[in-house]
Amino acid sequence: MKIVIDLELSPRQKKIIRAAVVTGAVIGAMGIGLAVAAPHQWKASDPLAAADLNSLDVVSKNGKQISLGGTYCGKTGSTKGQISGAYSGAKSQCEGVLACGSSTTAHTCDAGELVRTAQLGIAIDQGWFSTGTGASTAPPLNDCNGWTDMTGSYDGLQWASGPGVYGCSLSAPILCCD
Amino acid sequence: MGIDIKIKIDLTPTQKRIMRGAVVGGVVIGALGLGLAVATPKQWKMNDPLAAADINSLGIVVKNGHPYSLRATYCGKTASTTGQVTVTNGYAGAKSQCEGVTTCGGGVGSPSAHMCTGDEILRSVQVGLTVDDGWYAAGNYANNGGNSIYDCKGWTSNSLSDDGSFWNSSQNRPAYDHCSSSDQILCCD
Repeated sequence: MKIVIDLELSPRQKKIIRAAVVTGAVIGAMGIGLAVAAPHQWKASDPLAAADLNSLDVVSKNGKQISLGGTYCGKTGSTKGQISGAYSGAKSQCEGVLACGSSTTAHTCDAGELVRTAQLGIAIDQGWFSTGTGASTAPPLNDCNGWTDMTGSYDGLQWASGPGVYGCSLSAPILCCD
Repeated sequence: MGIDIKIKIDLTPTQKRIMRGAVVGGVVIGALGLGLAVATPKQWKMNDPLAAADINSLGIVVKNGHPYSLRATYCGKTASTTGQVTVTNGYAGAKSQCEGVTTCGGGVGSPSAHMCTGDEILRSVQVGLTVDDGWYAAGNYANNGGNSIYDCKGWTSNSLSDDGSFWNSSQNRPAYDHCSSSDQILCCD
């Protein structure tokens, strides 16, 4: 199979295309900066693009994306309560879960998302989830000390038909929502 | 200003067969992709029409054939029940009861109504709504020095030794109650 693409450009045309590429790169960089900085603030007569609609339920911050209104979509491999990169590391693992479509907006489930999922009648596997809250159990219950503990000095929550407390030295998958 | 672009593709009979197979394969993969798109939230493309129904659905999650409202606030309560809403998956059973609460849907119930969560109750009281006494889902765990407070074991327990989250209306604060007690389920939409 032979494919030949032959572009014949004059020196002037080459200069114009070069300028267009540079200008496009600058505008693109500015656009990315704005997208990271703040949610879209709409003004009268703004055009409504498909990308605007797709981003309504997504928070984009710090170069990462996280979906709102998530439900359970899959689980990672088993891990103790010490997760490399802690909360953000757990999200990174969820982004690689095929059952979640390897979605860049996937993340560790929180309690509200699992309650929503259960009310919708969707089966949830057993695994770790984040609450962002602490309780004075013994050992202390605090997302395995922010997903940094695997010694059993702290506890975390696993979903097992409902919330249950587990020692951080135990292994279980991370539950992912999107 | 003219730009000449020439594309010439020479194919042998074998290459033509391979290309034909690739096109058929692409159609199959495309159909599978369409199936996935139906199962996940709508992804907008340029020039898609925007209908009223699309706008109305922006705050609704639809999964497993059931709608579930986001941005919800307290809308009403069910009849009283122990913490054993159903024997299995009490969460789904609670949502089912909330769907029939007439104050949640202008007198006819609402398919997107569900058992309130802690954040929804906090939202409701912060905007000045009165939230009645009743069960709500925390999805969380605590211990009151003896009993476990954990949504009455996923709203499947009516045991005196299990607890669930309970909103105390007179004091406008979270509390807990034993799962053997009969309380209303608080519903949000």
